[in-house]
Amino acid sequence: MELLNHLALGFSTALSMQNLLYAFIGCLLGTLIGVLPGLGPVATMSMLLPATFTLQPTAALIMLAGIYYGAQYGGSTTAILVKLPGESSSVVTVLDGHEMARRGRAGIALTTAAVGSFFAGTVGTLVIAAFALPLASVALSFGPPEYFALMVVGLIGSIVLASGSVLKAIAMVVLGLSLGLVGTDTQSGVERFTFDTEELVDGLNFVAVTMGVFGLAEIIANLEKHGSVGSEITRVSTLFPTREDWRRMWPAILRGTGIGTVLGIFPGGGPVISSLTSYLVERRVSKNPEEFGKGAIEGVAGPESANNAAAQISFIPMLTLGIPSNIVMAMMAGAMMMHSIQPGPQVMTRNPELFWGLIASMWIGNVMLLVLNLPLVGIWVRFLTIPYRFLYPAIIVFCCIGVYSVNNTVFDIFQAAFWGVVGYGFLKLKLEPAPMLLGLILGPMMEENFRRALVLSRGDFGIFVSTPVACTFLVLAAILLVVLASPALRKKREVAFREEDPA
Amino acid sequence: MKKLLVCLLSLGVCSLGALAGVTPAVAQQWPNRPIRFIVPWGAGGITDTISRMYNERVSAILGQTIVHEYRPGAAGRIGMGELGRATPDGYTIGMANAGQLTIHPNLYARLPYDADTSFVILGMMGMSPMALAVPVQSPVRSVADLRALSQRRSLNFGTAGIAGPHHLAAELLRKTGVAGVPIHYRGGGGEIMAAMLNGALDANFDTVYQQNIFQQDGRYRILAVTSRERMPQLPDVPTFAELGNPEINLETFYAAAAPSGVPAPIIARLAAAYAEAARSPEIVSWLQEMALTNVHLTPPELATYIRDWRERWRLVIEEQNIRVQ
Repeated sequence: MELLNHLALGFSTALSMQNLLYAFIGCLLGTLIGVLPGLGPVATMSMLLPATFTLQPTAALIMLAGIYYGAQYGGSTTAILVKLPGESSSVVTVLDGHEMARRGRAGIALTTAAVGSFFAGTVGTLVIAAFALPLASVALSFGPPEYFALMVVGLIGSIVLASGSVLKAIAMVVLGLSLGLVGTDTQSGVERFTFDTEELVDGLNFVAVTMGVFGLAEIIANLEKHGSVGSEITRVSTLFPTREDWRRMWPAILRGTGIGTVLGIFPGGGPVISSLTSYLVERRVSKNPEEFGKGAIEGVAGPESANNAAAQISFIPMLTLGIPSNIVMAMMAGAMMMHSIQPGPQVMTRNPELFWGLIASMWIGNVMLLVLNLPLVGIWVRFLTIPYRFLYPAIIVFCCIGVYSVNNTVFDIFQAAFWGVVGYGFLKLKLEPAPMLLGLILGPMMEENFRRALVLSRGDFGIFVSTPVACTFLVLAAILLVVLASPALRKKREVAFREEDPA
Repeated sequence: MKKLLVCLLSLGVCSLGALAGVTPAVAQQWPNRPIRFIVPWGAGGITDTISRMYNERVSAILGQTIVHEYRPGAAGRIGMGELGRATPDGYTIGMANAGQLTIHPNLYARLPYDADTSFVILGMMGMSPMALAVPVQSPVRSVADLRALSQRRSLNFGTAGIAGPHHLAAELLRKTGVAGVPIHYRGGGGEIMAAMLNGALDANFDTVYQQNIFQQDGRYRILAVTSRERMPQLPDVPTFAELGNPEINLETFYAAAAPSGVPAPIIARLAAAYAEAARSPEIVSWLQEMALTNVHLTPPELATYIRDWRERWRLVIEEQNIRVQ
């Protein structure tokens, strides 16, 4: 009953003309910058932050939040259409989404992403409204051994997830882990593999690496095959999913939403880990695993729902504890501080209209995004008919802007160029970059927690099996390893991927 | 052809003339275009917020827009290097912090700037004292209790990174007989709070603002503050000086800086503008809300302040043998 009262307060705040307008502006801007490859929500929000000075704090936060989840929606559009993940959390959407587009099903893929995101967003909003506090306490109970075990599961999972040769997948994960070593070691402060370059002190720029190995490498490969590019993906049959598509996508959306909701409360890469986990799960439960990597609709529906649910849930630590779990949340907290609102548990009691208004506006924003995006699908799909010779220079320019805007440094553009060439090499060698990227994200977190756990236990390795949660994760990791090594699965994989890889 | 040559020549003469007359004229006209303000950190967070709060006012005083540019990376050293290399014409200024100016010179043999000669500090925007806290479920009630506990077993101190102010504060505390192993959390306050609550950590230093948030919602108990006087937000919490450890006084700071070589009249106007903003009632009350203190010092006084702190940190870093390379 109390919840209903709160939601009523929230909706009455969020439905005021002014707040609706700002929610709409935020969602529109977010979708647009999400569609432009590389230009992320962080750059946009920092440009708009001064403008929010003069707004009511509630309106300001509603607009900023709109940009954030609008970008999550838009990010999948580029992943599907031009094989360029707009956000790191759309990395797996590329695998099947772009394949669907190549088979003339771009419209269906985009609709699936929009519907899945909407459903996940709705559930995410409800979960925040009802369970924000208990969920926050779960996140608090995770210590270094639990995080370490979770990362182990993630890494082994990424090998299971990779298509093609297991050996190559392991090689790519290890490569990613090694690349994750670049930068300052947290416990000792020693700079590793930085070659006296200040720009490498914080490690490789993840966005630059992603843009390089996915975006730029793809462009190089496309330019190689004269003329034929574009023509194979312009056969756009229908924009709307068939009955069969709906039947296949719903369970995936439900599972994805559940995964995103559970994993989203953990700081550091919630949406990324969620979407990858969802992909892994979808492929495992699917009756036709051989379709994955070749345009399976579940491979879009699951991860897109998962990353959106996680993105929504990542508001919980910021709203209830005052802990921003990523840069976007740090900017939201900054906007609150400028209006002299202390982010933290007191927000709920001292500024209830702000807290509940923001939550209600999340759902309203999701409705707006659905309404905004479904008609746009038809327009986005036309992008595919733009001759490639016009499209690719534009993609490169936006990639450069996006990469530059992360740290405002030209060095990162050179990084992206370098990784573009490396990524082209990967394509030639049929090496999948996704496991490497996971290694690059999870590696530093895993190492940090491993070292931290050992410092806490003064060197006793027993700490890794000292709690039930950590044990459960490690057992899960062991099971995954066994599954990976089992001859039956290896055979199934070989059959599944043989057609794809005739060479 | 001849005509063109004459044109070019006269153009050259004109521009030479303009160059010759440049110094006094520029200082008088300054600022006639937007000023860049380099924040050596990412957008969002306290460094961004405090810059925006000040520059909104400074921009009104000078009658010119101030554009923020974020140059994050290497704990502020990348942005600081950029500021040091900028053309000293008064159109590029930025933020400087305790880390880059007073701590890093003692740790890194090679820095992209010279902490002594590359900058002129225009004014102090705010200083952040620290507070020592324990989790609320801990039996420790005072610094003396913590000392007693540390004699019974090895303590764990949470810090936001090696040789940062959180860590150095813990090292200072070691001198008073409270010894602990520093555990570094890249994610800072939030990650540390989780570890404090689930019992992994025994105590930590953080800014008074951050610690007070967690004390108010019943997670932390603050034992002492490192400020010279008691903080108005925490009237019941003693300073370390009151507890007999006057050597544990420290604060990190947020200052406005310009590259050295900016003409003196421009420095004077910038310093005056930041001083005026620092005294404005909005800033004073906002600083208090954020549990920040401030001192009003002139650029030469600030240079001395920074040299003194750098020397102090050198002693601590050498004594405790803290190394990063």
